[in-house]
Amino acid sequence: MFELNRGTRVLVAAGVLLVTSNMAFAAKQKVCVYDILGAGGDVFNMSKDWALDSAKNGADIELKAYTDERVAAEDFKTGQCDGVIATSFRTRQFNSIAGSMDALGSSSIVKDGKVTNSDAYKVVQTTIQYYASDKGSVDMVRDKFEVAGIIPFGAAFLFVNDRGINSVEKLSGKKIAVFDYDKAQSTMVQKIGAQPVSADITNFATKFNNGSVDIIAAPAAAYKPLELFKGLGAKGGIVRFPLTVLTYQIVINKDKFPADFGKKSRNFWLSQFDRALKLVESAEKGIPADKWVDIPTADAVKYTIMLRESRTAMAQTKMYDENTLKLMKKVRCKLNQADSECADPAGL
Amino acid sequence: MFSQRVLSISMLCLALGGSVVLSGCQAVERTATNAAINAIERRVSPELLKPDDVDLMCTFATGNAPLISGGTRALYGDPSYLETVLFQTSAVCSESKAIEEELRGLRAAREKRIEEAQDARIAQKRLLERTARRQLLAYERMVGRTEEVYKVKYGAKCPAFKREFDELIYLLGTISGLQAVVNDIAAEQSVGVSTEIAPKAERALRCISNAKWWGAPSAARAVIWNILPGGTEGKDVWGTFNQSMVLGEIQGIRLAHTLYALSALSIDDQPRFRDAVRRFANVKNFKQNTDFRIVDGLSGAIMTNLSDRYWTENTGTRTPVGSLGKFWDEKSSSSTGVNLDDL
Repeated sequence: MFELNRGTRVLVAAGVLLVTSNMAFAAKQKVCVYDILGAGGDVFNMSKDWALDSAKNGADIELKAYTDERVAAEDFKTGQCDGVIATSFRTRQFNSIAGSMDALGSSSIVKDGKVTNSDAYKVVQTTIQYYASDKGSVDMVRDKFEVAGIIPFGAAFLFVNDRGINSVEKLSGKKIAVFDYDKAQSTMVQKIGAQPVSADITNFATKFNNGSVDIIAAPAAAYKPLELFKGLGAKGGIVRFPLTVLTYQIVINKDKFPADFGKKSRNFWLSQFDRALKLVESAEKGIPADKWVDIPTADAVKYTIMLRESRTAMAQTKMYDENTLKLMKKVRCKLNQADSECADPAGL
Repeated sequence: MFSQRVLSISMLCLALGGSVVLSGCQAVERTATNAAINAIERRVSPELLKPDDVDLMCTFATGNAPLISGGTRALYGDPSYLETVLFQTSAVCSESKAIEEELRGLRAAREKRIEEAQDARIAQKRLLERTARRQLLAYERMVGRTEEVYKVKYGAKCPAFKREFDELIYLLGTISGLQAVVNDIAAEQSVGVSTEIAPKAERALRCISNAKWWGAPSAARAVIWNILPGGTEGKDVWGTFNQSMVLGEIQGIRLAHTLYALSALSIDDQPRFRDAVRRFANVKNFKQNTDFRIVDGLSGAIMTNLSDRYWTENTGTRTPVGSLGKFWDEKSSSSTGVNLDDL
């Protein structure tokens, strides 16, 4: 047997390490993609473009479609996937800063007496731009998890079966569907004196359409495929007040990707913001005009205050990350300096 | 006799022209044109459904749809049902081109030629946009004519069909609508196909006999159950596909197999996808339905496309000749019973 001298051993060890590390990046990264329509959906389609672009950045991404978001997030958690694309409800556990972007009312602005969806999307776009910047990037990494992109999939609106429910007070006593896995929803519903009814993505529309609940919160994209006009009936409507802007977030195990991949990926998804927004706006325009319920300015202000109080309380219980709420308040105040909340430095 | 007389008057109208006789001539021309369309639907269409040469049919449809559609409409006829067949068949041509681009993209991606792969994705999306437009037109023409003739709202109430041809168009047009939704999403929703087609189609497909139409209505419904949230509740999705395929195999049309494959792929269920392709390719004593060969031919073309995509993703080349239903990671030849280690 021959023996290697120390120098040779070090060289061999270094070589092995180098080969191993190259292998780690040469190996495919499996990314679990939640899309309600599976491989045929919009998010999966965008993910295909991302996977191709990522090849330029040294990744070799293999996408796997999931129609159950819980399973996708679970598979990521257990290491069966190296990345996950899911809604912020499910990704908040991996990065609470990005995951708190959907905090209730955090993107809503009452400007010149009006609440517009476009203002809400501007707040979200600016926040995403910040997180893609060098300054904001720091917050996108938590241990081995890194948020590698964020895109909007629409504002959540209240769908009510009686358009007479047009103020905060009138929500009291009503049955509202809430997703169990987002504690913020049930907390909020209880605060306004309404009755939370447990639901999930597979049955919330049915519960609304068959009258088991009076109110649901959903993005415009759900209106047609889930036939929510059935639940609205002749009397109901959609309150034109964006409660929050829902986002899809891309979270990766950064150890499985090349160095600096996360930042490049965030920039890719930022470049897709307009594409995603076009889909969102198309869904909103697809809802018949007579289904929308505009609320008076005074009520819009009341909603805004109520949502602010709620998210502040939820930040205190660590349900939302305070830093995100502070950042989004700054953005709101840049876009609407006249808002009274901007005079209160302590508010969220 | 009646048709000849109408035709003569129609020719006279054309020769006279002018606004004085226009309204009267319109009525005559409409009657003549619709009589001709009716004859084509009853006598010619069945013959067009007999050959299984998909390329021939889609090329014919692409080349002739503008003339048939524009010509009959110019003569005040309603060729909507014919248009459903023409646009749907024509969509097969553009979809096949889109698949070619997809395969080019997959090969380029495997070889790390990223710009070419991205270029292929763009080309694919453009072709899918065209495909979705044609499929949407096919669907809309079917819905419009059905609602007018049978005085029912599509997806709300069932028409009392008077002709088998109308039932066939109802089935094909509905499937076209579903294809339009899927292809438009893949084309970044460039067309704006409404997603409400899916739940409407699910209800509409209950209006036609599953046993009569080769298991396709239930299989198409099962595809929708799999994609709509909560759609599978209380449903035996895979059992429905299985029963539908049995019906299709007995009747010589394997459309249900293709729908099963599409559904499995949408949720990335590879074992079921392989099962669908294998089953399609290995039906024992399969006899193609001579009256509707084109439908089975179309099913085969789509299944081959799906198999090609799967093969290319994994090997870089499409399904080898004669290998539909086989996969690259399976044993290449059957066992001779000799243990090679003993040799």
